[in-house]
Amino acid sequence: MSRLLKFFSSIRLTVVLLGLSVLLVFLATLSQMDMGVRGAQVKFFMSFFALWQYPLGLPYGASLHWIHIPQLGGWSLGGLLMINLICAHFRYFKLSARSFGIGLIHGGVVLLLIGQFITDLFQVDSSMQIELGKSSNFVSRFHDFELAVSEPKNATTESVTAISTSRLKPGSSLQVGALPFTIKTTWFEPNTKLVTDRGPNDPTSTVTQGIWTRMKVGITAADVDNSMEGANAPAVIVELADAQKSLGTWLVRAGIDRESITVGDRTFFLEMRNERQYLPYSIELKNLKHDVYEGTDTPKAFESDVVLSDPRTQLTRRFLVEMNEPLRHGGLTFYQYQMNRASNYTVFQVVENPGVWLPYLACFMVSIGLVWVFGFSLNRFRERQA
Amino acid sequence: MTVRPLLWPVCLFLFSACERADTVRHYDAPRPAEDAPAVAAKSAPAAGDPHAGMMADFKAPDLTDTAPAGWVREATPPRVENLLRAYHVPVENSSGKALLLAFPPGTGSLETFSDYLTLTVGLTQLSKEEAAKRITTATLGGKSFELITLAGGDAANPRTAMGACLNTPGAVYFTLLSLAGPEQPAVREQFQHWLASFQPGVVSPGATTVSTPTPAAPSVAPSAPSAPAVATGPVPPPSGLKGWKVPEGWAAGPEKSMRAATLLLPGVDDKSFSVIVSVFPGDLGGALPNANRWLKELGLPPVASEAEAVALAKPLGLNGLEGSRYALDGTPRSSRILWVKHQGKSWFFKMIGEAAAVKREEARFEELARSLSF
Repeated sequence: MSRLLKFFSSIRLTVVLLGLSVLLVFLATLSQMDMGVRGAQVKFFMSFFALWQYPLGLPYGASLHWIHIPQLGGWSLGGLLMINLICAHFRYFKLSARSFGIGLIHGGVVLLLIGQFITDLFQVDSSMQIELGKSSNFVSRFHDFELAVSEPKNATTESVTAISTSRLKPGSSLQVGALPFTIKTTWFEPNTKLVTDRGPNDPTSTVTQGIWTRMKVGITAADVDNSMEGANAPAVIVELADAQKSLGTWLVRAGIDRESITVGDRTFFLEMRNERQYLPYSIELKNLKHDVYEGTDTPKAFESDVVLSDPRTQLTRRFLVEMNEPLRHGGLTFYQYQMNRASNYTVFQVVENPGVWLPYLACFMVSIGLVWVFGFSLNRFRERQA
Repeated sequence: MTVRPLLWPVCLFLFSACERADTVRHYDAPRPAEDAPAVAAKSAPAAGDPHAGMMADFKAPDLTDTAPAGWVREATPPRVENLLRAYHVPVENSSGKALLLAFPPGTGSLETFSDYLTLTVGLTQLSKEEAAKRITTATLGGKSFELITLAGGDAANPRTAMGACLNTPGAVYFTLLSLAGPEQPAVREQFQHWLASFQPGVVSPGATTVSTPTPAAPSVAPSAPSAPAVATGPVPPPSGLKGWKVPEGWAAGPEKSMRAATLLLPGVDDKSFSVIVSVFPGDLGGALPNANRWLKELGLPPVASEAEAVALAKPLGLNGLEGSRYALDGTPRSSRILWVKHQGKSWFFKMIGEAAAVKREEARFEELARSLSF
């Protein structure tokens, strides 16, 4: 047996990896003070390596912030644990009727790890907001933004070029085939706040077109809010240029009205917004109900009475979406999320997770495996008794 | 076989290193009914804004209105929180849009919303003094409105915005009419007719604590159709407070999200007048942001530093409780604020209303303060 297989199948490795996992959870929990739940999740669990830093929010944070501890990330630990389990299985277990149960248990645990990895990679959280009596056919990502360049095609449709903020790196230039201009990013911040007085170095001083040339307020970078409910307002300054000349420089910020741009005889709209995904079906809000427990603001019941229309399957069906009773359709799950009676709209949290069934399958395998193993032990016990 | 397990992390690493999502996408989508209004800026509050979470659960009493002839109710732009109505306003050779929004009581006055209006017409922000000069008051349909009209844009593309604010005990209603063109008297007349038609609804009975009624129920603008349903009788202390003694003549107001309690006080005319009790973890960023928020509510200039904010405060002086108190006088409104820091939380007791009424109730506010038991 090779030394490599011995190493990877070692029980010592299992103990070390489990110990590191506990440490990772502990350190990531501490880091939530500085970076929020979502930030800690991405940095420590959805990564191969992470460098932990003493949080400023802890006692003596300012003086101990220099302390760094390198850590294996969640993906590394999960992958190594999976390899450890597979190698141990090949090393110690022989195929037999009795060890079939052990194999099922190990298979279930491996499936659980794979399921979590798939969830990390592919789960997408979005929201869908629908006004009472209206319908919607798109979802908006909670934390991802895009620069949308739209051009009206006719009275009802527009052509959209959506550029992820990951492409808006200062100094980068983007030539998109459908657009008659290049987009050069000169400034980008993932979160910004407005300031009442513009200093001499305010980014808006470079803006030559649009509403920001007429406003007195300035803009500055703000700390990115990584809490689960955090609302960031990214902003970008872009210079648009056609083949001959610069068309001007615009500042586009999330939450601000979109800018109108005329290039020759064509009109475009420029907007920073939550990344959208259009669906091949629509959901109409027929009614909503928002009850609270008497004498409190504690929600008692959120209910959205909706009609789902899917032209692909000629499906038109009424659903009642309420807390813990989501609507599932087309690979998406619509959970009741928020409601505003003043404006008569409802908001669904929309989750897309292709690995959603893997944990159920894994638990089923582990359960069968345990029954199998304990069944054998029980049988052996009864044989000895006889 | 011995090397095969090592392929896993290599494959996983390569896979995760790939760009999984398209970073530039092209698609056709339905056109929005009209460009979203500039007030949408409010829907992305800055992180740390203590009001940021207020809006999502705010339950404003609805308001009935009658749109002038020709106005067409529009699909609500979904990004605008607390929007009750949106109308397309037909204007010759131009287009207009009217919005009606509802905010929690105490959100502010028309000056608070003036940034929206300036943004709409492309003007620079108004200073408090400039805003105060331009804001007028008028009684329309028996209700007192603050009004403002702003003209902006440029010679080729003039823009006009008319704003109005109606303060009621149940909500602050803010309206905005924007025109892509110069001001038109006919539209102004339509706007004012629309405002006169406003009939604020009452706070829903389910949101009001009704205990044993007594004949000595306080009168909060009893003749005004907009007066909310008011709870009468003994007012229990909010959760987390062991006890208090609510002065005679004060009553429990409607429950609101983000508030521990609301007390309604006899006011002047139909202006809202209340003591708002709220509790937050921590100190909400210290004295500076809190003091400036309270100053802004009264139209007073902000202070520049934490030291100035602290200097505004006076000792709490309540049975060993930690905290401070503020007495802020503006025109026409004043406020008295108790900021009690207890077990890591900040308790705010804020009396805000017409200056004369606040002064009149000051002794009873002190009576309430001295009765607080944590």
